[in-house]
Amino acid sequence: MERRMVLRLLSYWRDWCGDALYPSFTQVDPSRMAEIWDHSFVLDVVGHEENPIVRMVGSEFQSYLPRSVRDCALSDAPAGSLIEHAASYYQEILDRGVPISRGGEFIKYDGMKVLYRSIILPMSDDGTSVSGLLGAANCREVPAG
Amino acid sequence: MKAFEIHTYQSGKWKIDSVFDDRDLAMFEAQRMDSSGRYTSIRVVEEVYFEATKETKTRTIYRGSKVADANAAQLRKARETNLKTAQAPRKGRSDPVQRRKAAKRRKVKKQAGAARLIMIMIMITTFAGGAMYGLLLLQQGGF
Repeated sequence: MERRMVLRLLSYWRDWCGDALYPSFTQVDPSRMAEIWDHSFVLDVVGHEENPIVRMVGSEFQSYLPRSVRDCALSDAPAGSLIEHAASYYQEILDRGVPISRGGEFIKYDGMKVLYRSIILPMSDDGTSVSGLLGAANCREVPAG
Repeated sequence: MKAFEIHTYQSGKWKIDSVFDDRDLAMFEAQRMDSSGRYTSIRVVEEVYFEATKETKTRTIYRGSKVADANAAQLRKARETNLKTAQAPRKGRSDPVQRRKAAKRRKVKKQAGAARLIMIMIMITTFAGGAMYGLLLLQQGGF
């Protein structure tokens, strides 16, 4: 699996943080990290802590989804999709307030086996409390069985 | 279930920087962070959760070069101090002449302290007596 992408995004996140506990989405410039942004997703957690809303999905990430999930609750994400697995541990980021990276494999909705590596980063509007999550994942398909 | 936490030492305490489920990835990132020179200290803590007993065990599996250097320096210093303190009392104990001299010095010190106290008391008494005599003279003079 391509691991460097999650580390690159983590490195960006640390730079955005500066002296603050968490960075703001306003600091994110998608044009400066296009290759990562295409693999990213954004979860809105304000008022939706128990079931975040998907606000953005990058084009590469979208290619592993059978339909658009923009503005959908995470619980409504299609079963066997990348976002279902890449965002499954979002609650741990809310609880611990630190970036977490996980990897694994799952059988996609079309029967293909997918290996993935993901990361979720806490973001904030005020620098102290988490108001959103920035995630990213990359993956590759291998024949199932 | 295993987790690998990267900790950074900031403002006098350890802080969790990030968490990985992959040991190699955590180690790679920790080493990269350590060599960047941006952090005072880096360490990787392995956390193992035992589902059956609901217990978590932790152990440090990586210490950045600065942590290792600081620990080694501290250990060296502690050893030197131990060696010095171990040698110093033996010298005194093995030499009775030195011991007697030291006891004499302590005795002289005690005596000097008592003499100083008596001198101070005499001075205070003299001063107080002089002041009272002066006041008496002033009173008799009709001022």
